[in-house]
Amino acid sequence: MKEKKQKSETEIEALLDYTSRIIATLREPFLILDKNLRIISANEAFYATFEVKEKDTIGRLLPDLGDRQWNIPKLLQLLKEILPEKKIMKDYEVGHKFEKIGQRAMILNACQLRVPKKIAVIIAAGVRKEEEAEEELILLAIEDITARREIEKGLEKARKELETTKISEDAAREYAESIINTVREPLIALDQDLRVVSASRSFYDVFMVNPTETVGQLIYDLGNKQWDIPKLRELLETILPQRATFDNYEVEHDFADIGRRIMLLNARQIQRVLGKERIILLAIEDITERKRVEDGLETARKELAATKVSEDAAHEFSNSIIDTVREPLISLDQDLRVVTASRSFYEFFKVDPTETVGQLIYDLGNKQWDIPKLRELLETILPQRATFDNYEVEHDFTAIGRRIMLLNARQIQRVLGKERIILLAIEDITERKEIENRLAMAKIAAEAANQAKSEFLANMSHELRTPLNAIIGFSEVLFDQKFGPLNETQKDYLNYVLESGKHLLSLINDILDLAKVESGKMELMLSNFSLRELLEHSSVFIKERAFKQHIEFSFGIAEEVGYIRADERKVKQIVFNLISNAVKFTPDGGKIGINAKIIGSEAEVSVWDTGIGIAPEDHGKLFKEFVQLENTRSKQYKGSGLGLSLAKKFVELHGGKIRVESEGKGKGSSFKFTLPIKGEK
Amino acid sequence: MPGKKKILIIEDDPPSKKLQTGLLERAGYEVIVTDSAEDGIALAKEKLPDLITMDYQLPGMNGELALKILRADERTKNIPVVFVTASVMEDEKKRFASYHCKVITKPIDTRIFVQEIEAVLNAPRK
Repeated sequence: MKEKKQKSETEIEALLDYTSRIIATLREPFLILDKNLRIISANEAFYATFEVKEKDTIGRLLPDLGDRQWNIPKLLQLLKEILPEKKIMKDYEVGHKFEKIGQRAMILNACQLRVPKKIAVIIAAGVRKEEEAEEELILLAIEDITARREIEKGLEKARKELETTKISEDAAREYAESIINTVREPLIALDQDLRVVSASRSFYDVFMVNPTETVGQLIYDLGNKQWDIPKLRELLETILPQRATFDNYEVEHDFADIGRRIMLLNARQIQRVLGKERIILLAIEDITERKRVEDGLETARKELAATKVSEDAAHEFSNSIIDTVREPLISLDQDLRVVTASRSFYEFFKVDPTETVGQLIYDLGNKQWDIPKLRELLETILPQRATFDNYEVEHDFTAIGRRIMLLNARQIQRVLGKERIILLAIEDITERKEIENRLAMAKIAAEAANQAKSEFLANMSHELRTPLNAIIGFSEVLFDQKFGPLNETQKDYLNYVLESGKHLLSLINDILDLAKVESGKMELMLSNFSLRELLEHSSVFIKERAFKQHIEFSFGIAEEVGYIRADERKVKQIVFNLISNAVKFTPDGGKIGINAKIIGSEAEVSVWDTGIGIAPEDHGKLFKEFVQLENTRSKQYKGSGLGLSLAKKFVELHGGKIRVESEGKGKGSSFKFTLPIKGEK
Repeated sequence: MPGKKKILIIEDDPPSKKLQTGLLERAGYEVIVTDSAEDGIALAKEKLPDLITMDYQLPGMNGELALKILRADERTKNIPVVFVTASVMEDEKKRFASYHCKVITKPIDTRIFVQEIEAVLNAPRK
């Protein structure tokens, strides 16, 4: 008996061991709980699936597991309420979102059973003391069906879709037609031959056609072939055979009844519906109005954007200008309060923005700006004229002293958010004014000095002429032996006095002439005279001197040279000065000559020589007063240095030109001057 | 010979006075000389010369004013006046021209001086 009992106990143990092995081998998580939901045993699959550890599981209450993650109402309901009554529960589905492993769908299979105390003790070994071992146990198999559920859902979806397609053709037709008739857009269905199968009410309304003349017709023939639209043909015949769907195909067409329309065509090619092999569903959206509104909007938007951009740009531009210009700039509103001021304004007037912007201009800088002339400009002049330039204001500023300013004012309507803006550019002309004043003074002084010089020269000339009158006069009468005979030596010496006196006189005359030309007092005494005769007389005078120096003189006056209108005395002097130089600078045995011809309206006279010549670099200096070229500044070539400059001035007074031609030193030179035949230009 | 022609020289520069005197006396004229316009006017009224040569810039009264006084006097208004002057300013020359007076510029050309004076003496009177 005892043996039998032992044997049965051994068998129980072996059985329980076997059971526990099965449980351990199960892929499904498995739990054994007591009726208080305390976990007595769990398998590896449980630990693995729910990522918990044995020590945190055994002996715990199920709702407390893993930070109460297992406190699942539906599970507790099953275990506490359903199971005690039904004892067994199959395929009880529970969904729960676990912290560690996320949303899970589980199928629970559970049973509650009563086991003998002995078995209970064995099962609960290590958990409960023997006497506490519960005889009521719950076995809970948990199947994780998350993955399966997903597959099932996909299947279900597919099934439902399948079902949807199973809706009868009649229903579909009805459904389609009702859609067709409900939508506002005209809708037309065409068969494979592009004949109208059906059209929506709105199609008939919009395109002003009726069903009898529409259904069965080729679309292009609709409404007197109004629908024969190239772009529509392209869509239907070229694009759609290649693509079943085509959206937002824009077609513009001029319909006889309804005028020009812009349409957006959405086309669908559908196989095997409405009893046809192929149906083309054409939704026609009339976007004419929308387009117009859109275009208008777009234009408006663009304009707005443009104005905005340009306004912004202009604003920025103007601001940068304002801050860039050196002149202080200030803008005032209609109440003459400062709206903005340029950096230069602050710098120049030594004020800062906080004490400036918003202030009445007159109040600026301790009322320093309360300037009567500024008030006049802003209050009296500007209201009448939008623009006022170069308004000169002089004012004594405390900070910067007396300033002369030039105000340029502009009155601008509606800018910077103000009704009226006065832009005031302030140019400080104090310095400029001072310079101008100094310049004016200097000019007056210079003119006075020049006047004084002219007067001095005139006086000097006068004063020198009086003694020269005696020197030249007496030596001349003595030389002429009017008052008694002289011996040759006396006569020779006396001639030196006479010639020196005459030379001195010519210098004085040149200086006087130059002074007259420079002071603008030299006037031309125009008369008609024969240039030919003048040249001939000059040559008579020079021939004598030339003969003495064994200089060959040649004379070449063209036949057409005759009368000209000019200042005879000055022309004589020009020729005399040139020919004197020619003789002076030509060594004995050389050649000089006078040529003259007419070129157009001018007479050209050239006085040439084979003398010492002039280096090219000296050509420019030649006509300057008091300039004598280095190699001529010797007693051999005495002169005032005024001859050529006077000649030049006299020629130019006549409106003519003078120039020199010389190939260089030792190669002779040729002075050519022109005179207008008919006097002054 | 119906007596020498009288020429009054009004000139303050001694050498000029002497040069003119010498040239004119040598040519056979009776020459009366004075330094100032004031004396010259008195002498002109008193001696009634056939011609007066006068400098422009004189001490005291200048030549221009003297001319006006002479022209204003019935006795002297027809006596021709020749200005012998060192002045060469254009505006002065123009003014002299407006008085219809011959102007001889200093330094004088001794070779033509007498002829110039004779030309004025022989010119037809107004």
